[in-house]
Amino acid sequence: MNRQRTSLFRANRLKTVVVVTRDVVLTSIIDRFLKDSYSIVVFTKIEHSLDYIYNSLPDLLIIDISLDDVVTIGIINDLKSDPIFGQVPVLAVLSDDFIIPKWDYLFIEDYVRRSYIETDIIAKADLCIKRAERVIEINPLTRLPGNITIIKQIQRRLETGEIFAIAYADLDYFKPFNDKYGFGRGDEVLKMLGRLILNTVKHKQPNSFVGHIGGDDFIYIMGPDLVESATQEILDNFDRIIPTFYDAEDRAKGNIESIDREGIKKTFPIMGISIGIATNKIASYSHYGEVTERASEMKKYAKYTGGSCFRIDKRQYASKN
Amino acid sequence: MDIQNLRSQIEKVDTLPTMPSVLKKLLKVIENPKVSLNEIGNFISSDPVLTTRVLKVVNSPIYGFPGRISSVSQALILLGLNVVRGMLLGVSVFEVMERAMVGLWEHSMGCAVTARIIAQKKGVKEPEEISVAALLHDIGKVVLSLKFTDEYKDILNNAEKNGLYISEAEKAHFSITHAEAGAWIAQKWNFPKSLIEVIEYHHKPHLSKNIPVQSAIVHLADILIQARGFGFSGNNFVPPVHPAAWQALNLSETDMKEILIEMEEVLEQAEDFLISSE
Amino acid sequence: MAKISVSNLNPGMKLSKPVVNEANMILFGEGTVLTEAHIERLHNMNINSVQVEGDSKPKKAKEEVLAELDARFKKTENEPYMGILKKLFIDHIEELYK
Repeated sequence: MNRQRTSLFRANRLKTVVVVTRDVVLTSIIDRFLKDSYSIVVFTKIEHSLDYIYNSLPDLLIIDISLDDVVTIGIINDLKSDPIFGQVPVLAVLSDDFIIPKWDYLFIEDYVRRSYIETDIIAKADLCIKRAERVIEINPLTRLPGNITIIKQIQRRLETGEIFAIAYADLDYFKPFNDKYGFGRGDEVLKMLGRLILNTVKHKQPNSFVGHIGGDDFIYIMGPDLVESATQEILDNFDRIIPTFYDAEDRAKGNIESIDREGIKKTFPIMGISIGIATNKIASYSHYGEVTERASEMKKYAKYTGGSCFRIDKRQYASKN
Repeated sequence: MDIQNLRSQIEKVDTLPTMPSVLKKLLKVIENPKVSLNEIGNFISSDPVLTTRVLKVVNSPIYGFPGRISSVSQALILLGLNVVRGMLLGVSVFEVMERAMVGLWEHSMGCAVTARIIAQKKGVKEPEEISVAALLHDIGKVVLSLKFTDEYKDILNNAEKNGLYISEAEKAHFSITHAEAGAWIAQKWNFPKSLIEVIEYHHKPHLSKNIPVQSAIVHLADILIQARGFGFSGNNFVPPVHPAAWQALNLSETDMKEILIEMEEVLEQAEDFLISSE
Repeated sequence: MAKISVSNLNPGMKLSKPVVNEANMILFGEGTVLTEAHIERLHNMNINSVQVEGDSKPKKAKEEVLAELDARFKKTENEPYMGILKKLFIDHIEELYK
């Protein structure tokens, strides 16, 4: 089947720009200037463009915004908070009397004033796309932030004295899965896991943080009061979804078989997920290393128990620093 | 039109429209900022077009695990509330709502609940998967009538006038039936193989190599719901059950009686849900 | 909209008006879909009748339903197992209308 050929390798095709505006004049100006370099798709309302965006991941979104259009701004912000679709750069066209808000309220990459459209649109569009292409430290599989951001996130919370919990998750029996089914399918599992953790955690607590260290190692940071229920949800949902990544016979048996280097047949159960949690609710930490070490210890405990489970650190601890 | 051409025409279908009453309800559901994924999931699971939409996005290569997800609840967990809301905002409706289309919705929904009841009776694991397959088994009819509106109207008339089954009338005109059309689009949209197989073989369950039991269940559910007269599949006559499917399921008379009773209860509730538009 | 005696209630019926007690406190709100448990409570509370949402189309007569069933099966009633199926449905419908 040709599924995998719908690849994301884009160098040779014309980049797509989605334009959202009701202004016919604006549409024709943008079209006139950009059509030679880009494939333009126009919508009159952002709601209509979403379906297209979610199915084809365009290279740039140009949108006409007025300050009182709270709904549109909300939709843009939601779009930008998704790891995959948030990568689409957004270039806003602002009317000349649009007062620039605090950027916390409008997640766009750049803007151009209506009266400067003709002079600036090509440069701005090119710049937005180029900027998005520069590698930011995100995991290529899940598009989640990596180590540098993770460390910053932990350190910041320690400095401000915020009470938080950090959970460290990885998979049990991931290697045998990769050995049997190949790295391609292993990657699928990781992509799924990334989305699963992200959505579950963010749904529980919008201002949480989810990071991907690498391989099957994930981290999330949220309030200590919600972390256990969020974690249980992740475990439950993972156990429900992961069987679909196995072939039917293995799924029915509940395990996979392989031969190790000595020629001995070994069976491995269906993957589970182990999560270790540490929190500064009762302990005090001053360095990110201490926190991650605790969480890592807890994760080791969790691994001793078969199947998906989590362990949370209930001991008091005082930082040596 | 030759088959290759027909297939590529069908594969061009990007998005399917739904019923105005569904859209109305849908907007209410997603407007509510406190709505849970569960509630949205239940609503989506009752409509074949919304279900298809969700499955298409979650199985898209963009997410990176095509062909894995056939459950609406799992799809919603992986997509996240924001993406789901955004996706549903762009739903369109059939401009001209034919009576036949409304009947088809009821038929699909009825088939889904019936299949679930049978699956539970047989102790099949994952009844939700079968329920989804049953919900989508006739999606080919939606595709064909969207792409070839006037011709499909003729086909329906032909079936009625001449006492044909809808598949016979489709085959006479297109040389394929809605089963093939549905399977083509499901394949284009990277649906899991098991789902594609049920859609393709729901009229010929004996040809389903990989999941004979699931196909048999959906096949039987399709017939039972038509026998009960719930909804409209395009057939004025109940098609015959395939003997192999009946034998494979091996349901006793008591089983059947209980299935019919459960069907009755659930269908009554379903009717209210579908027809009320407030 | 129909006023139905409590002894004729079936699960799945939906209240079109709230049910109140003597003190005018609402026991079951408008729109409540009645379950077996609800109905039992209503019995025990000595409430005589409630208003339920009736079908805007009146329920079909049994004869009509059976006739339609017969017509639907005309083409295949002699095929394997279809006779059994038809009989199952006839019995089922008879039960419904008892």
